[in-house]
Amino acid sequence: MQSRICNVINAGTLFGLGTVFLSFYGTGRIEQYLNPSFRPFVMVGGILMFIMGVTCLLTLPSEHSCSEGGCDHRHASRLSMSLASFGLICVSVLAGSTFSKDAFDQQIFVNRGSMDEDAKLSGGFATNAVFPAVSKNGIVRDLAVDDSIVVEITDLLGAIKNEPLRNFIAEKNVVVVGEFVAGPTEQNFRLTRMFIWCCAADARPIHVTVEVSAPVGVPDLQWVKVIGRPEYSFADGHAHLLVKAYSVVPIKAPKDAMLY
Amino acid sequence: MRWFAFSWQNFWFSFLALVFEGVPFILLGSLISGIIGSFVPARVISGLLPKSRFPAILVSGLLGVIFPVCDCGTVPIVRRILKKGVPLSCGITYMLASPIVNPLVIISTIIAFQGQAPLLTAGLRIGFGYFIAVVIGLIVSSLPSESRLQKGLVTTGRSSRTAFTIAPLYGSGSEKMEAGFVRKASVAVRMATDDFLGTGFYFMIGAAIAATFNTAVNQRVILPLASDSVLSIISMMTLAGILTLCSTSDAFIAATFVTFPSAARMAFMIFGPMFDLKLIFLYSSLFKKRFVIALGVGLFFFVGLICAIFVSELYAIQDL
Repeated sequence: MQSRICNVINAGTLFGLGTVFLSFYGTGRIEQYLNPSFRPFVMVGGILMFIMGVTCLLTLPSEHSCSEGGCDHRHASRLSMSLASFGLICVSVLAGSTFSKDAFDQQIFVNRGSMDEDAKLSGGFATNAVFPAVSKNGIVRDLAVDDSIVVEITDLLGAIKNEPLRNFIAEKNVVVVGEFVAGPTEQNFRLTRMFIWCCAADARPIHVTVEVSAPVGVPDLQWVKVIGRPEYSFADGHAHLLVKAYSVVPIKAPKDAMLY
Repeated sequence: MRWFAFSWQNFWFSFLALVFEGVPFILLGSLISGIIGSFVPARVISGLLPKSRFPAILVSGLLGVIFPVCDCGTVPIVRRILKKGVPLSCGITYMLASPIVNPLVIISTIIAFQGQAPLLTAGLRIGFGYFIAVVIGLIVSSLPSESRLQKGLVTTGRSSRTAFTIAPLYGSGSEKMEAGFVRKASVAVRMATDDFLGTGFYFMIGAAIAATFNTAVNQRVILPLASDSVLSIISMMTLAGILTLCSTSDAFIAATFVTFPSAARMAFMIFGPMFDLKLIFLYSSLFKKRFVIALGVGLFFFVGLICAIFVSELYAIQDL
């Protein structure tokens, strides 16, 4: 009898976890958490959990074999272990899916620092930015309205080490989106995005400094669209990038808030 | 500067990200474990490894090339092969080496360190990662398994058969006993389920603690330590333990710490995949607590020493 109850609880754990995985994948919430190359694993994992759950319900462990001694299948036979697993695995993830806002708050910018503060780091993006074709993030897109090109922060940083891209970008007005983070003065701010390799847990902020003629008047972490001209300069062996903005307008968060 | 600032929003976001990233690999490891448990006889597993101790440990350290599973996925596999009678020394060598000595990690390290001696960095990481795993395996081989492993994993002859273990029956001379494919597959899934729940239990604890430190600790507190060759290594290994990154992505993070010496970044990339907050709990599903602690402390000192003496010297020769 206890085995049957354990089976039901174990299956419930798998169904619960599988439901969270599939719902995140199905609703697109997963886009805020994982690099695209890892996302299919979530869907496959969710399906496998359902298959395992069904198998768990339809079969029973052989009690004869279990009684031979040395059995380490504690979850198959012990109610306490099944309940503990249900609580720790299923309930915690369900709680996470309920309470998570699918984004970091401002504290993360303080705790993790900005990855691109040292100009050398922009070299890491140079390999991603492919001129003039579409890069890893779909970055340098077709010419947009008003002779401006739509770029990502990674393109602007990557151009520091990529001369053809830099020459191309520096002669154009650019449209770039990111989160507003106040700078040391009202005449500049940090346009920031989170950059992830695998998952949001390894995400770190990257930014470009934007110069404005008047205070922008938006709160920190408000998504904004900046239209301006990037200026690259080199001093003391380091590259410096400044975007002189003509326009800064608040916008809604983009579908893919993270860059990768 | 506050070194610790907790936020529930950041915690839940990071926790779920770790779950979505890690759980599919634990599932994969559990399925491999279930398949090994149900379909592969013990004698086949034993036959894969040389008979004598030293060559067996050397081969175990290279198995990650064939089974490129990350650190989360190795635990259920090690659990299963230990039950199949593989010596603890070989299991632990595979467990420590495979998150580093595998093709995905080699490629990601080379890509991450573009412009920063990528081939040398990848080579040193693999070479020293393998060396350290083999040395730990050799040390463990001189210790009795019974005192290191959790109760259910200690092999004591016939009495160690488990609920769903079909394979050992073949290995013990009962080849005539046939089980249909469907039954074996169902047993494999049941085994995988139990391995998954057992490993996932510890993973969730580790992921929750990792998410706390990963988001709440101000990582800038370690920056002043970058100028000291010894402290930089210690601080980067501590950071690796706290961040609990996947070994396929940690090189990208390490590459961004350009203010730190190359040897410190190497310590980050060798120690992290072998031992971090999440792995403490995953290892606890295999080993007794005292052994997990001893393993962590031993690895910390050993990796630190290797990086402080040999890796820094090798980078210095290359003028890096």
